[in-house]
Amino acid sequence: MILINLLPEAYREKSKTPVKYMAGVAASVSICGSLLAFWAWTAFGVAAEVRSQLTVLSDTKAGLEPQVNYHRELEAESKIFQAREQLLDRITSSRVGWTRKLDELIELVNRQGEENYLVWFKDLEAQVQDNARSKVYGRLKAEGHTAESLSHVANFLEDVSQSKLRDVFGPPHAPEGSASETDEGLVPAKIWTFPLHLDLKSPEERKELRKGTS
Amino acid sequence: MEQTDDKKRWIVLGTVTVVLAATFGYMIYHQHEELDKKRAEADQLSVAIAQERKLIKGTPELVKTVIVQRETDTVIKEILSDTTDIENFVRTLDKFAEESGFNLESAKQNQNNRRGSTKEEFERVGYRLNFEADAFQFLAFLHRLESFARFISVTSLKLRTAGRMSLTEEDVPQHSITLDLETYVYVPRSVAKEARIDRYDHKRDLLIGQISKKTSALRVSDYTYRGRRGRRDPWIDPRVPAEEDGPGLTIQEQLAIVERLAEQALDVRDAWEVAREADNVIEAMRSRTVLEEKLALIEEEVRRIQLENQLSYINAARRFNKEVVEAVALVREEMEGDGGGLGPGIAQLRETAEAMDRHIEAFEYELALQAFKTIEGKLAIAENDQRKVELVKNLRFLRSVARNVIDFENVKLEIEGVAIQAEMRPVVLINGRSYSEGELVGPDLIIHRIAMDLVEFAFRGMILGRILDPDPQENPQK
Repeated sequence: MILINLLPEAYREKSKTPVKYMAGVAASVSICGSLLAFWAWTAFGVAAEVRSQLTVLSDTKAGLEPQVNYHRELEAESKIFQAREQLLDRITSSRVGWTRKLDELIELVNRQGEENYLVWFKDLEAQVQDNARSKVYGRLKAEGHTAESLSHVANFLEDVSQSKLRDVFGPPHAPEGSASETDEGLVPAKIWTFPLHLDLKSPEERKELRKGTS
Repeated sequence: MEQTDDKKRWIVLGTVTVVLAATFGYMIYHQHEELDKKRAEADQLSVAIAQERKLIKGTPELVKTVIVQRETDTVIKEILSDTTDIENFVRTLDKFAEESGFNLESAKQNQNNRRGSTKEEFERVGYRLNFEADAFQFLAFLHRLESFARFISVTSLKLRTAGRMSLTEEDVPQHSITLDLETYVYVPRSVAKEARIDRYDHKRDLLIGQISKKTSALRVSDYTYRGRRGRRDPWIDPRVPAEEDGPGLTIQEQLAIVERLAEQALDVRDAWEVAREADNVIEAMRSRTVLEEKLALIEEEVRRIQLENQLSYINAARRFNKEVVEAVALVREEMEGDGGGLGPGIAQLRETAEAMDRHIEAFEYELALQAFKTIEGKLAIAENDQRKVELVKNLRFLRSVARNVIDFENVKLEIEGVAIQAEMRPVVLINGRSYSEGELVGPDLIIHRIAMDLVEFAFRGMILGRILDPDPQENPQK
């Protein structure tokens, strides 16, 4: 049904925005306004602060960068030197100082005189190996002679096991020997032949002992 | 109609509100996301800055480390060379052998020269050396190798001893030795770019203590080989020939004697160098006196050892000849060559006379004559010098005493007995004939006095006696 208001304009009831609607609009405006205000506060307040903080930090970092680069350069240089040092350490730790060990063996043979044993050798063989899997690191072997009595072999090997040779070598193999020749034209006439066999300790053990003695 | 408009308005309002709220909500959400990102970024930056600050706090220490490393790298480069430089290495081996007293017979590069592994930064360079030397020459060589600036590792060695039958007095005992050694060549995978360090020299000077400490720690060999020190070579059979007159000196005693004399011979050599380089006449005379004294003493002992054949251990005898006899003779020869025009010095004459005196007192007449012979050829020149005339006369007198005693000892006198009775001239039975005092027994030989236990003879102006011994096997002389 269509209603037509025939009253003159002056008599007609003035059209007002309904209160409810006004309230609705106000609520809408306040919600949207609040959101907008919050956004504005975030965008122009907090975000700006964070941005400026970030700028400060970036500037600080940029300021530190040359020093850091310099540090890194030094580190890189140092690492290369270190690598060479470590390599040197690794190579040197596997070496056996044969001068020292042979000198000690000669000293031992000479030190005791002829009373305990008169020992001399027919040959000498020494070898350094690096076979960690089979735990074989090398050896020193010699065919020795002693005079008069087989007990001299035991005396000698006992002295070997107590000497400085043990820094590098394990204990000698058990004493054994056989009478080899008798020459009445020489003093002493009767001699015994015995094997001297010493196994090298591992490079780590040798290094530890070196540290301990140095 | 109105109702419819209202409704529309509400719808429009609602829609607008929702759209706006959603837009603003999205904007806020987006803003917050951005903020979170930026905050996270800021946090990251803060952490990074803190780490970098911490890092650069260590820069001064790192600078020190790098300075020490740079300075010690020269030493490491020496030890672990980055150049193969094989020519120089071989030259060094040859030089070491020569300095140790032998020559290399062969030096062959090992075929298994290789890189440690694909990852490793070094290459092995191996050599096999063959040579002949005694144990101490070998040790001296090993010591030179192991204490060489460039790192050398001996990986294996074999020594075959010189057989006893192959040794003679003249030969040096030569063992046959094979030595495998390795040196290393540094092959860096990356090259160190040197960072610029301000006031480097100044900082280095401040770290000089640390640098030298590290340098010495890096040096590999810490053992000093001190040579033979009177020890026998354990690869030589030390047994001595059996002697009929019982055992003589032990091997250790013989070696000790030779060691002592070798040191004395070196001392004589030093004294000769000092005397030769003296700045002025007084200094020359003084040092020459010291030299003559030392030389006479060692020559006296050498003569005694040779006469008594004290050195039965072949190694000791060989060393004695080489390091004592030859060394002393060489000094004597040089002295004579140097001052030959002037004849022997007063000190030499005096020392020789004293040595002869000592020999005569010890009944070592042959040694006294040998001492005289060392200067006999130059006495004619010395006699022209008034200051030396008396000394020369004394020497000739001592020579004649020694000669006369030796000649007297060589006269065959079999004294069979003496007869001494009261109021009768004593009689002695010599070589089957009886003689009394004052009678001539042979040329220049007159009986001077006859006693119960002794017969004295006048021989070339000297009174010499023969002791009568109840045991006819012994015939000691006075």
